Amino acid sequence: MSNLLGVLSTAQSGLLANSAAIAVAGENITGANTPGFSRRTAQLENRSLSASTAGGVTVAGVTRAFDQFSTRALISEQSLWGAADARASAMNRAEGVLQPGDGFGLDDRFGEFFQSWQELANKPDDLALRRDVIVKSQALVQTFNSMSHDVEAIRSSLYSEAQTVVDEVNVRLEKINVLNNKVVSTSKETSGRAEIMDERDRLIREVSERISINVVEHGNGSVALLSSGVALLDAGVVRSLAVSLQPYDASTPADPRTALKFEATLPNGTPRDITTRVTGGRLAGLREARDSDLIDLAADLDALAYDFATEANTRHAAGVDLDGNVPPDLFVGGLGPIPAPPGTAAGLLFNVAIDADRRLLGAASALNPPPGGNEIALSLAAIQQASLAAQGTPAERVAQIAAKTGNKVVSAESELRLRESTRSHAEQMREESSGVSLDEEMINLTKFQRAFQASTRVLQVADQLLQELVEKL
Amino acid sequence: MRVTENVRFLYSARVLAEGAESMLRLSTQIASGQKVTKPSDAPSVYASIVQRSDFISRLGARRDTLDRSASDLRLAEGSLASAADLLVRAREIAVQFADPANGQPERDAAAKEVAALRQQLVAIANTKGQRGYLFSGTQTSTAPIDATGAFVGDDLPLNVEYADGQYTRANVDGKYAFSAAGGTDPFALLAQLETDLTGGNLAAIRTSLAPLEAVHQQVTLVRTDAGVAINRLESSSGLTSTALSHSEKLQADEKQGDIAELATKLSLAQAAYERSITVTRQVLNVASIVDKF
Repeated sequence: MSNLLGVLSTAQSGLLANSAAIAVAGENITGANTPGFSRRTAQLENRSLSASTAGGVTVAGVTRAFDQFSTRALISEQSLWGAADARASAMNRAEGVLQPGDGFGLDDRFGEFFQSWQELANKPDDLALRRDVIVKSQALVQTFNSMSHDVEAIRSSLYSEAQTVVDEVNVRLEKINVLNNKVVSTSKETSGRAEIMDERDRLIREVSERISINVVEHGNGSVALLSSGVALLDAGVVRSLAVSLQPYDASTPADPRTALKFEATLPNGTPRDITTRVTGGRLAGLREARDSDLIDLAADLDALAYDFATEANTRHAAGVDLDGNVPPDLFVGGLGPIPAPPGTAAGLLFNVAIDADRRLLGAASALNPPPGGNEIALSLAAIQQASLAAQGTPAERVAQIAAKTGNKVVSAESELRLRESTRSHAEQMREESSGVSLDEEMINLTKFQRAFQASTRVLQVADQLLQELVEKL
Repeated sequence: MRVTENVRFLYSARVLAEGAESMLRLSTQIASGQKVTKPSDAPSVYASIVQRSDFISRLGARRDTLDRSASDLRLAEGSLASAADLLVRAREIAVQFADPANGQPERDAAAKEVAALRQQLVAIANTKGQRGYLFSGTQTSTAPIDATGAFVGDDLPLNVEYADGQYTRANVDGKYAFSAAGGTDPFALLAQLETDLTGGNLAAIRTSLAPLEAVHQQVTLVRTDAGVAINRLESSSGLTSTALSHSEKLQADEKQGDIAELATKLSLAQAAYERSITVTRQVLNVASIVDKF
């Protein structure tokens, strides 16, 4: 009797274990396309003999396919890709500033400015041509202003983006902390725990896309996230990240430029500046684009605006206006003289006094009585061929700025392509170790289905034997 | 190596994305007709295009200025030729009516002709070209001869650039031709001749012959200067045009894509993309055990 009852128990264990394994295979099949899903395996093992059981099988747990190497590689590659993507995107926008469309670039405005002086040289006392010089000068100044404004607008939007990214990191850190607690409190080797860990790994990857991190796994299953020398998350404590603006050059108080500042809160509650330690993730890419690439571009524009406007004013001052007087400066700043870099391109203005009275344009040499010839008009037109501050003609300087920015875009896009490739490779590695193969799962499904059917048969046979035995008694 | 469905999908998606990107880039180049449309397409080529555009713009402006200046100078030369003809006619009148055989009525008629000649000379001196009054020096907006017949322009040059950093005069010295600055004031001389004819002052009429000859020479001298300047400007314009054409051709070669080459590349990219689609279809449709259930 006891043997037959034991057979019933064994068959029951087979039914339960195999149905559980079928459920795991089902989870794998349905989760195959879920981002971050890791393949699970039902761990079947012999049930130990006891007074009430006669062997059989039991589900010892559900394990999760996890390869630390490929997971770490993916986290690292995600950071590098995030940085490359953020920088490439910003530099593509910066390139648009230099190339607003045929006929509307800085080089075109320079060409029109010089041509207007050339025309005035042909007829220096012509008031209509003087108006044309004023219009072309204003257009050139507006282009400098507009380009500088566009660069600053991109820098401003990158700061906003950095704020959003920091918020996203903080939200994810809180979620990971909650999941950490769940992992610790959930029984090991269960599907529920695997699901929590999948979700946590997905969030960790999302954090790594935004800021480079190191993941340290504790014995209880919780993880610590370290970044830039600070534990952003450890032992249930989240140290939030913050971004703000700081002076770009603190040694020059008059410099209005700003730079991103990243801070993490230390355990004692004080913020710690980790700006220079953020070397990966979108935050690093945003910082490099905003505070290096775009600062460079703005500085080049400022230097060109300053050198050109200074040269033009110097040449203009050597002449006389239509009334024989020394003409005022062509280009000024809001507070008087041309603003020194940084900020020249943004603050450059055409002199409103000349705009109001075009006779004030100095086209003639001071050596002759009014209108006095066209030497100064020719001299101003000749700036087109002059090397400004010994660094090239205006067109050469514009070309240098375009080539420099173009090279940075090429470099950023090349880095992005490389990182897309290496990240894809890392994803593939992770997929190879943790991904779901439908073929495998279908085989498993069949295997456990057969075992379930066989257990049913054992149950049936044991039942028949018991029935016969009862009838014979 | 475990090959899961997602590994196959990731690979296929990446290959197709790369093919599509390549085709888009080539299609854009063919549509715009330019192989370089932004600095990052080819930074050094873009920089070269910017500099050459500036050079072309400069040469174009210079050629236009030279052509307009030459055109004005041709007009000035023609005007001076007309002025010289008028002065020849005035001298003929002086020669004819210095002879006492002519009666006063004939001299009065001659005086009227001289007055008309003087008015014509004023009109000639006040000729306007593309750049304004031709003979008023730098005061191109002011008629050089006012209502009283006085010269109110100046003798200052208007220079033009004929080569990099090289300038030459592109106007004529109207003050020398049409005022006492050249030796004789032609308007005063003609006015005096008119007066002398009306007054029958034969001695004075005879005396005017030498100044009429002198003023003819001063006008002719300025006309000669104009001819020399025209030659210089036309020659420079020709050289500038040659340099401009050469630069424009270089610019077009550098900037514009070879449509045949681009079309070939697009065709190859399209073929590669289609092969990728075929392979992807095969990869995605590979027999799976799932199909057996």
